[in-house]
Amino acid sequence: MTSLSEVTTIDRQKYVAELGKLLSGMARADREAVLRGVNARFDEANDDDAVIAALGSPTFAAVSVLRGYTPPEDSDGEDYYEEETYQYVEPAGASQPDEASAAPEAEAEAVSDEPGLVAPEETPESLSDAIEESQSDTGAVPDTAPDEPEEDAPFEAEPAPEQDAIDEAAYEVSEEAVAPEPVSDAPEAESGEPDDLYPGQVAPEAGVEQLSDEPAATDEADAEAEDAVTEAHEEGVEPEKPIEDVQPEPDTGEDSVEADTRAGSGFETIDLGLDTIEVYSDAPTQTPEEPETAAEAESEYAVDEPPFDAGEPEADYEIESSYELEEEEGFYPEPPEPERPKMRGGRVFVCVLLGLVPGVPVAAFLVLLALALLITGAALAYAGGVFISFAFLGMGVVADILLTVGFGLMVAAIGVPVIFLAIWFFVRCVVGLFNKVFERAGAWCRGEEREQ
Amino acid sequence: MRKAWSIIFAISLLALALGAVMFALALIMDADLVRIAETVFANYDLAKVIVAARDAWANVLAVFGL
Repeated sequence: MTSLSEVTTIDRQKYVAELGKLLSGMARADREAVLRGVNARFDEANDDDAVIAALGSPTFAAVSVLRGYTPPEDSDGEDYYEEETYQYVEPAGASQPDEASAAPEAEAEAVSDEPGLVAPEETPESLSDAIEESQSDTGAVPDTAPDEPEEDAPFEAEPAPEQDAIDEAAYEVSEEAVAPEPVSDAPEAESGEPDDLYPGQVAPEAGVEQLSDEPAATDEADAEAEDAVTEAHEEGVEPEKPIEDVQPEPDTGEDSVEADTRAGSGFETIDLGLDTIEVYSDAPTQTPEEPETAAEAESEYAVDEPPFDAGEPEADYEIESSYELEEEEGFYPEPPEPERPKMRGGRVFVCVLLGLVPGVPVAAFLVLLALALLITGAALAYAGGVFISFAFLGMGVVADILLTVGFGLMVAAIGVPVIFLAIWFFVRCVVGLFNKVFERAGAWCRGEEREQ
Repeated sequence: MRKAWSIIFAISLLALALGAVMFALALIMDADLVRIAETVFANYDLAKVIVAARDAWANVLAVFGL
């Protein structure tokens, strides 16, 4: 018994490790979300073998998850989890992963058609085909576990990243058709998002039905599937065989409606609707319980938006034109000049008295001080010049010349800033002070409040 | 005003430093103030200048009645 538990423990660990390795192409957050869901499922069901049998082989589960996976545009992915309206979708669910897989498939097909490019990697479709073939050969009976509804507790706790992880992974796998490296490459955000490329939803491919009808993978089926994958890989089988029947076309709302209707699952409708909502940022978030499909919502927006878009600019134009008309024709009345408050006689008298009695002497003193500074500076500068001029009186000793020049330079160097100080004092202290005094006095005479 | 202040201050400081250096160099080279005064007085009649300055100041005081 202990050995059995050890075996199951090792199997589970191997399963999760293998799955994580296969999902290495997904965004880290998405991959962790998927692995958390798988671990939760293991934890919930005590029988690991049953869970493994229900999920299928790691390759099968990885392909199921990667189908329709779209890498998130923002690399950090923090906001990615905050989309509450995303719902977890069972990896091997009916057709949900296939809805978003058309775009990557289309990309992969386009890439594989390019000359000179080798597509050595197996795409999800071929993988799923191989799985289907192997399972059909073995006659494996579909297990109910993969098709379990999303009410499955541990998985339900995992929101949006699951579906987006599927979309991202599908893109990643299609990208691998160009790059021979396996899923280990980091996913790149590209414009090929599901909402852009949903046209492929017209035919949800054989893989959709295959996955929806896929039986529970037995060990033999898994082994064969993996063998088929390996063979296809070795043979360099051109991927996208089932997709070649499907010509991806530009997306239309009707296509998404068909896809939603065909899917018959509220979650799928929501996923499509979310993509739509991301396009129309003002669209309300939809819940799976809402009967309204995304296409209906789109049609509503399509009906509501044109009048809104068409109406607003006209209104602006009318406003602008009327404004210009009024301005040109002089309709705008000139703003009335604010009436200056009347001067208060008493205060004017007080101001004049105070201005005459202490103001004039103070002003005279300040002006004389500035003048004295100016005269001092000028005298110093003049003295310096005179001392420098003594050097040209015919002195026979160089030391005497140096002495007179050096002394003259020092005196002049003191005098020049004194001159400038006198100017500054007059402008800032005398004129500025009296300007302030007159301004305050005028405001006080008009009864205005003192400005701080 | 601030820029003008900085320019004036820089020029003044430079001139002051240069004058100080030259003055110190002249003292080291044995400059003689008496010799300089003799040269100056030999070219300028300083007594006449002092008399002229006294007369000018007296005229200014006379304007104010002093």
